[in-house]
Amino acid sequence: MNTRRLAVRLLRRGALIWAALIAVVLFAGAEAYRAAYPLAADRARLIATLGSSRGLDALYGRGTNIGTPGGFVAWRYGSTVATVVALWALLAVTRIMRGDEESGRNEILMASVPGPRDLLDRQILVFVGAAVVVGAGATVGCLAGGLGWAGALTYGGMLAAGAALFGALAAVTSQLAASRRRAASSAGIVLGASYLIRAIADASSDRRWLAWVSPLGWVEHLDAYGHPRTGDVVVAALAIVVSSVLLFGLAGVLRARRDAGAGFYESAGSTRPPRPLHSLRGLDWRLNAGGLVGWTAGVGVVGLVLGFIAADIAKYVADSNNIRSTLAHVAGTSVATIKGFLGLSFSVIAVVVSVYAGTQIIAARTQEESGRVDALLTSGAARLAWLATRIAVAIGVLVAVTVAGGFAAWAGVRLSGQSIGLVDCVKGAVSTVPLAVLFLGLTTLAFGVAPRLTTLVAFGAVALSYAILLIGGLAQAPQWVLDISPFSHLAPVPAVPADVTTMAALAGVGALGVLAGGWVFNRRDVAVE
Amino acid sequence: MPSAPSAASPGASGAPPAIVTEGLTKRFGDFTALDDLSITVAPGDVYGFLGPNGAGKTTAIRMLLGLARPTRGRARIFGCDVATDRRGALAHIAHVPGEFNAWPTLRGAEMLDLLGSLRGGYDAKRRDELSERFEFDPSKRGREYSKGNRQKIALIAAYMMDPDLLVLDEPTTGLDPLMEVVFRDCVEDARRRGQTVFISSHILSEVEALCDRVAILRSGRLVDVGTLEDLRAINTRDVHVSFKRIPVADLGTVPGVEQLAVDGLDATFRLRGEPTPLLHALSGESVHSIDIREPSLEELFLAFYRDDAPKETGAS
Ligand SMILES: Nc1ncnc2c1ncn2[C@@H]1O[C@H](COP(=O)(O)OP(=O)(O)O)[C@@H](O)[C@H]1O
Ligand SMILES: [Mg+2]
Repeated sequence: MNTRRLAVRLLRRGALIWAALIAVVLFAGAEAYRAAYPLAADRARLIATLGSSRGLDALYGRGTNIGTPGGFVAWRYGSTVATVVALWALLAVTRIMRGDEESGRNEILMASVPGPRDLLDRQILVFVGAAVVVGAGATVGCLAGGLGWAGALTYGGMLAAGAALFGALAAVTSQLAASRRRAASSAGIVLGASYLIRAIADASSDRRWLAWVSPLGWVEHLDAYGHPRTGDVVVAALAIVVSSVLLFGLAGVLRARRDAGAGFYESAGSTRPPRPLHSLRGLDWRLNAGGLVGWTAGVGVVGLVLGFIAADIAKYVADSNNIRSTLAHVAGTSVATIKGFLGLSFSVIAVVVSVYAGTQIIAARTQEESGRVDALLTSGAARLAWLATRIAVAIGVLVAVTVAGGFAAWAGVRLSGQSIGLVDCVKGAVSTVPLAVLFLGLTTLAFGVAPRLTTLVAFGAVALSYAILLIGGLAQAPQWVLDISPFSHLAPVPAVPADVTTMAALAGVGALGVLAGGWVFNRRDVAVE
Repeated sequence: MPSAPSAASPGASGAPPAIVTEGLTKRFGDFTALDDLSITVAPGDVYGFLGPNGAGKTTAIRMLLGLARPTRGRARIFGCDVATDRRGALAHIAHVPGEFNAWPTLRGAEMLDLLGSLRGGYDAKRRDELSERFEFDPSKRGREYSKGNRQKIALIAAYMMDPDLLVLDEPTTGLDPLMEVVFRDCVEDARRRGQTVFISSHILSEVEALCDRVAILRSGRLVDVGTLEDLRAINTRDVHVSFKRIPVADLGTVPGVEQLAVDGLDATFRLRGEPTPLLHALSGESVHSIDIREPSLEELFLAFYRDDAPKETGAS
């Protein structure tokens, strides 16, 4: 198969889905804004209340023009969407540039091009094309929402540029690390740090310059629909383009200097003696150990940021009389206390751990696809025992990761000079586990019934559920629409006591999915690609 | 045959066959990958499963292992029905896939340890013996092994288990010729120990060298089941002889030489049966070079059917 066609096929679906999702969110956001703040007076009040909230600035970035639909949409979704798109970029790039090499899938491709750099060049070209498609989704959404050409193009360009930059970074880590997982997590650490630095910069009044240290800060400086400063825009755009080109170039140089399948991180002749490995559980822990650290660190950072800004946001909300109604549209309900804010914003942790749950079943599918599970099953491991081990380890990690997230949120609150009960914080974060178990069950069901759709269901179900909540909340959709989304059933612990019945129901549905998926898996063909 | 009890004692009279398939069929959508395969492999046999690429060998083997479900028909391993007693059947089998996909981060020794432990323990001395025989370095990580070395992991894991039945799916893919010799020795060892060996291959000479009995598969259908003698009848070689001077002998009259094409000092033909008459004919000539090549199985089949060779029983 033509090398370019293969890369296109691998990236097409993800790029189109994200483009469509972003278009819908932006369009709905613009419509909802006009409905909620029809008059100039409404918008002036919005600026007065939200325009000076440092906590929200940390979360969403600085809004320079939230008195207009475009400025509001760009502020409210700008940073979140840019971060999500950057995440897509680094997962997509590590997949085509390292994942396929790791699985040996690109051995045939290698034979059809003059050299490894040619393959890399084609992959870069296709990826940049996909990034433009994702950016175009934003442009279409803005235009559909009647937000004006110039900003629509800037916004689309901003997302495409951010995607290209983090894609370029992932292209480099794909050369450095010999496994896709390490390549993705190395790039992910940089993304997390960029987010953290941008958040701190936007939340502070005297450390604004820090935003220039963060690539996500550069993206923010393009300031679509805002009041951009020409100098800033030029410097930021240059910074993005130049670093993307340099990173892609560096990836090419590194690729030419390494053997197929090799990386620069691990020295080939490492002499650590082999450790005993006797069971499926041992195998799963071994394969998961690296990921456990990464996910714990990621959720820890999120928790820390949320905890750190909680007091600030709660104070602004408490200070303002009309902010409750304003925030009703932004966040869904009142956030006048630290506990209230944390309870609501732990839904971010819920999203992260739900995605984690999905990745564990995707990993099972990868083991199946690559034929590795054949060796286990023909050596006497029962299929259900194998799958159950995988799921048990995943749930154990879920609990560990959320405990860490709750602890980090507590630490964040303490760092900001406030106090909150440690147990409350941990309870709040851990109460997201049943939701993750639900998505674990859905993905297991897909794995059993339609294994090829495992990845799509794992990410799609979470994205769709979150989008229903987000768009439905903005568009003031009827409650039954919101209720479709499992995220609607997440109680804002510790603002309210944990709702054990709902939690049991969520986990119960997840357990049913696991059982049904496992039952089918035990009876279907083990499918190798 | 009634469904036999799962307990099997090899060697005892009336012991169940190592492998029985009855009308084993697999469809993928409209496409029939394996059509109505019925074979019996007796305990202790070294059995060849011969067919060109895409014939359905792997499909059949995956059904023997319970990794795929038959669309129709069934398979029994030492009396255990694979559909109803998958683990019972697998307890008899060690499997070597055509391409072993190693865990990139695990070391060779760790993978052997894992696969052996899942079977309920293994003999470490035997593992080390086999590692040495295959010149396998178990201290590297999965991603550091070449294709041939990954294949050795699967071979060592299978042989160290001392199973009743070895199911080998094109096991020599990626092995260098020296290791192929080691592999053949291991098959001979297994034969001596009374183990049953089931080897799929698309190379006629490999099966010819190892197996007592052969099933031939083409496009999902069983073409023939026979002994080595039967197999030799279809075995031919493509020969190219370069002479220094125009030869005196008429190669066309030499027994076994077919489809002779002479172009000046070069002669190209197909040789069927043993080469002795040809060697006699050439002994008086001034030969510059001889090139003898084994045709691919697909080429052989084409020739076999076009030539309307003596036996075509069971052919479609
Ligand atoms: N999962 C599958 N889906 C569709 N077709 C398949 C599948 N597995 C095998 N086939 C087809 O079945 C035929 C037999 O394949 P296989 O058993 O792998 O052949 P062999 O091992 O003899 O080379 C091939 O034409 C192959 O394309
Ligand atoms: Mg095969």
